[in-house]
Amino acid sequence: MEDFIIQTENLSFSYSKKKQVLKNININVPKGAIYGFLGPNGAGKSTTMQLLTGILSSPEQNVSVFGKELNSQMPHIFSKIGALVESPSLYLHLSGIDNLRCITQLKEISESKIPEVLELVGLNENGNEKVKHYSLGMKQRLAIAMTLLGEPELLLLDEPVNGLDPTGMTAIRELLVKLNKEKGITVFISSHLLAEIEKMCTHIGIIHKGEIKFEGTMQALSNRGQGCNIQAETTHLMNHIEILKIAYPEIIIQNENQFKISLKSKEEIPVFSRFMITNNIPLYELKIVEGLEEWFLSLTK
Amino acid sequence: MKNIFKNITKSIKTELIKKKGSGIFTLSIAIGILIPLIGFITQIISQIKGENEPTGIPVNFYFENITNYLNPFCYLFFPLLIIYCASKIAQIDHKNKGWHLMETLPTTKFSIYFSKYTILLISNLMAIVTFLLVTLFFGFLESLFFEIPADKILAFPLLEYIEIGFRLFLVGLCISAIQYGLSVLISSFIWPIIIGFITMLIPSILSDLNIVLNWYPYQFLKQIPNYPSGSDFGYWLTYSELLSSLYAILILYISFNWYRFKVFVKAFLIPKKRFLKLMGVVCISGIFIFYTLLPKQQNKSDKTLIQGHISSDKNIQNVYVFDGLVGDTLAKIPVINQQFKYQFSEKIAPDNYIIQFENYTQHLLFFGEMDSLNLSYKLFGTEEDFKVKGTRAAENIQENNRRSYVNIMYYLENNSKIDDADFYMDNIYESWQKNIAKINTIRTVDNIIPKNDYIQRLTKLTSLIYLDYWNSFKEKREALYPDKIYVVNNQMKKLEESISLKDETLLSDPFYLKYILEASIKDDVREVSQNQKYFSAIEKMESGLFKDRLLFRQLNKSLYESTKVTVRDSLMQQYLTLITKDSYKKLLQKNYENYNRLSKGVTAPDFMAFDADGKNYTLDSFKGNLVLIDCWASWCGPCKTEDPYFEKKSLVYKNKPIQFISMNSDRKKKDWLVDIKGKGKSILRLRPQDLKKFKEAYAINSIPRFILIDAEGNMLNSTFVRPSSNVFDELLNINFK
Repeated sequence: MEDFIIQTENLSFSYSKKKQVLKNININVPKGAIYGFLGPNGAGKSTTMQLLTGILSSPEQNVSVFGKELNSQMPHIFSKIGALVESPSLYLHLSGIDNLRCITQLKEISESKIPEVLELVGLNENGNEKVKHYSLGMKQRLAIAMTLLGEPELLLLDEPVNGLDPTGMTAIRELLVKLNKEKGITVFISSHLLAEIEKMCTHIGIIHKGEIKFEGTMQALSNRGQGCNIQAETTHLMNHIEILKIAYPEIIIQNENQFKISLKSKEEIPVFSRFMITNNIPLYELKIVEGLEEWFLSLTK
Repeated sequence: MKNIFKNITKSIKTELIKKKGSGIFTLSIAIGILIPLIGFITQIISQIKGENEPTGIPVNFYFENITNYLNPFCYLFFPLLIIYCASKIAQIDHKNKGWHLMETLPTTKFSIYFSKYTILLISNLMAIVTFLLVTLFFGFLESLFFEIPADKILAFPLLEYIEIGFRLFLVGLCISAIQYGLSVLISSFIWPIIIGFITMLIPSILSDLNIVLNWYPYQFLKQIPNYPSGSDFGYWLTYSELLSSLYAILILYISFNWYRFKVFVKAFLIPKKRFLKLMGVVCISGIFIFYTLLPKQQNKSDKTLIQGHISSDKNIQNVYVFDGLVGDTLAKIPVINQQFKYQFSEKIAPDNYIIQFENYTQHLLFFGEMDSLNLSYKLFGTEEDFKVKGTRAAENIQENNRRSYVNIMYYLENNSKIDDADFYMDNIYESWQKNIAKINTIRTVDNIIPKNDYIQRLTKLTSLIYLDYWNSFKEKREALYPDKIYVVNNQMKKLEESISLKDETLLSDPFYLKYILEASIKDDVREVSQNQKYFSAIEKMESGLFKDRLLFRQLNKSLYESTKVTVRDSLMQQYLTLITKDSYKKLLQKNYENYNRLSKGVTAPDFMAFDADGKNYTLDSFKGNLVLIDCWASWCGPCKTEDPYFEKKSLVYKNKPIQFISMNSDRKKKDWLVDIKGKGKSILRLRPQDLKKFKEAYAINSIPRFILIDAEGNMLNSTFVRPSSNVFDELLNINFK
């Protein structure tokens, strides 16, 4: 049997009697995974996060972390978890280092770890500045640094790349992948944008209106994608249309330069591009128009 | 347990990091410094101006300082500090969403909640300790650079300081718990402060209405400046501090669980277990709180005992206990080594008695059988201080006899609105009820209330005052608007019924006697003098204590008021035999002789006296001039009040044939010499050769006393009006030929 770090069994939750926020949520996060928890705003992501961190408590005791029921492990379980909920919870009047000192104090670890994590998130030159003078990206990175203290086995990150610029996003993604690979840290990360996280995740869970729509590996998700629609741009499409029609009979002409075709999967894209080159058809642009993203969007409509 | 401690310590350390830059501790220290600093500056200013004169009773310099500073500290600055800091500490996490951060770290909610509360307590403690230390420090500075008045004791009252600090801290527990709980539950910064500020002001607002909420947390804070020395029994805690601690436990339980489960219903109602737990905690602490709040009455002693301690710059050799009305001496207690002690063997009815310290001052003392009292009396210069502890402590709180101003008195005196009966009835009733209610607020610092006999008596006496207003209104109404009919409402009927005409417990009260006498002649329509009516009413009474007392009062009054010896003789002949009590008879006989001796026209007793230079005078020395003698002493406050008037009058009558004499009766000649040093020459300042003889000769029982003698050495008036009176000139001028 697979070793699950986080498991929930028919987790339901409601703030008031009328409105149920979560309905029978089952989440299974295997050890060593980077689990992307996807869903549009208001789907119940934050509520789930809060239940997983015990900020909200589920009366049925159906959340287990590290193989044991969550509430029974509170609060010492947090020495093994780095959590970032409702980002970013930072003490703005303190310096970055002082924020980190709060964590080392409570996690009972040495303050000598502070420069290490600052280095990791690239804030080593800003440690003594007050957090209120940080940019949004710096705040996010500091918040992540705070979760990294104490060598956690599990990171719970609620929208950690929210508001970051593309470089910042990439940096964080790379960092998380690195931590996952090198230290074997399991990462549970929530986001409302598939594109943000699909590149790094090994597993995906999709939540919509309080219900899990999909859970599985990235591979399984791609398979669910069933084919891949692409859009390409050339010149004088009509000159090449005959050749194209032979190879891709279902071609849809959009205008005099652009067309759309359906492929069975992403893997066929290189084949398509080679076909274009060998047939001397100029290729100016090639993009996926109905990939995972489209599927994800359709799921959550 | 070890874990809890470890969790709390690390959470506190975290909080100490988090509070950086919030200025909480700095503010606490600043508040601690502020009041002593202001006090110090004003002290220095008055020192430089030379206003720091000794005032009298020796007090500890440092303790007096802290007592002065406690008022602003407890009434305003300390509670405000708590309110502000509680909100500020909670804001650190409200503002930065820190609650969630803290809750996703390996520490318990318990440590999170209580570490922040601990920070608040540390802030309180810093303010208190700074307050005490800075008061001490500035006091010390002052004593280094300036001369501290001789009546200040400079020993450092370490224990008293620690006790005040301890009490402040305990009272702070409860207010801190309330404010902190509010600040955690309400995420706004300003609302908990506004709520706190309003709740803080409530006791001050209510105290104007004579309402004292003894259970109210902010009231506890006021108990400290009100009773800086704490418990009468020498305990370290009074009930206020105990209550504060109990409240703190209950409030912390509720507010912590509320915080822990976020929603009130979840925290206390839904799982039955939590509801039962809450009920358990509320019940147990409720029982303790109820018991602590319940006023106690003291048990009787096994003997009737009066003892006490005297400190004075005067030689007080004896303490006297008198019967209030007739002045019967019940006990003459010798003072040995500043202590006195007397056990009564006879039956003593619970009543107001008069305790007199040598010839200096008198105080009312309420006690009865099987009461054991411990008195403390201080008299320095003209300042005095009288305190009673023991089984009648609550009954003898000196403020008990103070009454609030009654505006109806003003209308009565000016005969205004007499036509408006409703106005009088409503006002009298309202004022009456207010003062009755005030009786129920009497309690000592240890939550001890007077015994029922005293409460009943005081209630009756209070009613009597209003009954008197009512009766006097009725008389005036009858005189001014005899034809206008008005309906007496039920409230006034209730007032009239509240006093019986046969209440022996009130007999010592002159007001009550007056009331009975007036009631007894109500139906007497004969065309004779009022005194005559009184006498005939009394004569008809059954013999006994009632009759004796009334007759004593009436006879003594008539003897005093009549100016002729012959009238006095006939009064004595007619009524003295009707009195059964021998001591009353003796007293009347003595008064009769004194009044006669000092009657108008009788030769005034001669005296021998000397001035500051040692020159001797007798009464004869002033023949040909009127003589006005002012009998006074340096310790007598009212005498001092009259002094400038007497001096002024002596200048006004400078060219008239009158000699103004001030006759000193201080026990020590030195006190007299010090007091008259540098005073004007228009008054002849004398001192009798034989103090005792002079006092007896002129029957001087109390001072100030003014005696007027004519140019031939005959008595004109042995109790002349005070020079401050506005009829003084009129009465004096008729004596110049």
